[in-house]
Amino acid sequence: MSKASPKPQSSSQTPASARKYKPFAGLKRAEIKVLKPGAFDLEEALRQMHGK
Amino acid sequence: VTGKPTAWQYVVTPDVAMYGGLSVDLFPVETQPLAVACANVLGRASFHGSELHVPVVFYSEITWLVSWAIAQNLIEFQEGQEALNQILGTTWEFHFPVAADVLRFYNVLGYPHTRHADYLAVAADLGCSILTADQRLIAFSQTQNLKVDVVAITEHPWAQAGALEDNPPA
Repeated sequence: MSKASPKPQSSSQTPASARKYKPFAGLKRAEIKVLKPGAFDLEEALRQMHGK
Repeated sequence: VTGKPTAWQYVVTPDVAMYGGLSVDLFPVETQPLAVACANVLGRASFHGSELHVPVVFYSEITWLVSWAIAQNLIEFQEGQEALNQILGTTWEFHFPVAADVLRFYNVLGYPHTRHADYLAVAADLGCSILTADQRLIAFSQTQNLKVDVVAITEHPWAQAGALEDNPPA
């Protein structure tokens, strides 16, 4: 008799009713000094991040 | 006790956090409206008490993207640290998606376009939409049967200028 393998655990498998409600606290823009304005090509960075 | 309506929950992709969390003038003029839209959405998500979900890979992706900006001499190292603290220091809900679910999305997306799989797996599991500024993911959602609702951030009512209390979730 074989037992069914347990499903891998995931925090996102916790039923919504059992999860502790945690609203998003907001993200303040980091007002940092920019060395090269207008030069952050995020699409390109994302492509490079995954090597493609 | 009942769970919150899924309209109050979203999965977000790292581009949303980067566009919304870094100085607008870092980005090319043509993408600055997108950066403003992302900040508007994140601000209203906070005001309206939404939950924003990300897979654990989000943590390393954001770190990598900030390090890339440092390596490209777009920002200094210490500024990057501050940006990282700002972006990662808020209440994202982190999830470990089930590997088999991620693999299923890898299979749908096809190599090498797999960077969205973890996000799709979390959204599928929670039954909520993904908010994204990623044009590739938006395009995939229009051509593939992902069975996950992908919302272009600029199409969300919260992306528009206005007061924080505007457009409460349905």
